[in-house]
Amino acid sequence: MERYLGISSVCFGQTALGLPLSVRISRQGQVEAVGGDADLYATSVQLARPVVAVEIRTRDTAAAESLVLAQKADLSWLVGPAQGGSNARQAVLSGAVLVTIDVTCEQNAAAVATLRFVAEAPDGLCDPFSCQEVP
Amino acid sequence: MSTLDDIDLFSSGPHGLHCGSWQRATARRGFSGLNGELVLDLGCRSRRLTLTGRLQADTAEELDGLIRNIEMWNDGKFHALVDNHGRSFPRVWIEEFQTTGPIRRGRGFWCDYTLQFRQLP
Repeated sequence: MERYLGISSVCFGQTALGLPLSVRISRQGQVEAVGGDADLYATSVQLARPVVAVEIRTRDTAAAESLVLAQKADLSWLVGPAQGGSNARQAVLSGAVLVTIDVTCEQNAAAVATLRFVAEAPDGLCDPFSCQEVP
Repeated sequence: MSTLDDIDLFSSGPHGLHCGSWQRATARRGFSGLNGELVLDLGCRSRRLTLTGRLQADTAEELDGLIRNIEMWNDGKFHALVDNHGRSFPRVWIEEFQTTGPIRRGRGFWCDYTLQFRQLP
């Protein structure tokens, strides 16, 4: 099993987001659970269209502040191999729309920008998230 | 399981039946100088039954088939409805059937619906 350690780079379109702290990808579906009038529990659990979202925390606040909300581009990041591993992992969120920019400055701590993206699938069927091993 | 004339139309998904009140027709007369009113009971008319639920299928074609099956029963004729609790409602006809949104895709295909019946005494 390949393991990964450290984020080598994060790019949103042409903008490199240096000093990344974390990348989190989440898939969330809104649950629509219903049951019939004779049911004690829900007997049909369906999900509304799932949302694929990514949150990036970075210390490169200047780059984060240069971005514009609703900007759309491919978001990619590279995660390096752990010790003993050989392959890095390249992940791409295509059609990522920037929905949130949070910049936090604290006393005696480096500023942190948190960027949240929600992916727009080009045809509504293909998963906008993809990843592959790279040597 | 609910049935219409012993035919299973709704078991692909959960559903529930809401029974409206029987409606009585009345004629009201008032007279000047008299308190109150004269009410003539014209008899029991009908009541509305509302079935809401979810249709589910593995493919869009199957789901469309389930919808068409229900639509075929909108024929203006009397039928007998039995609900999930085994309660029987004779002399009902379908007044309106509509899906309450587009066909949605998740684990298979599904849509919610509302079916309005009218029952005569």
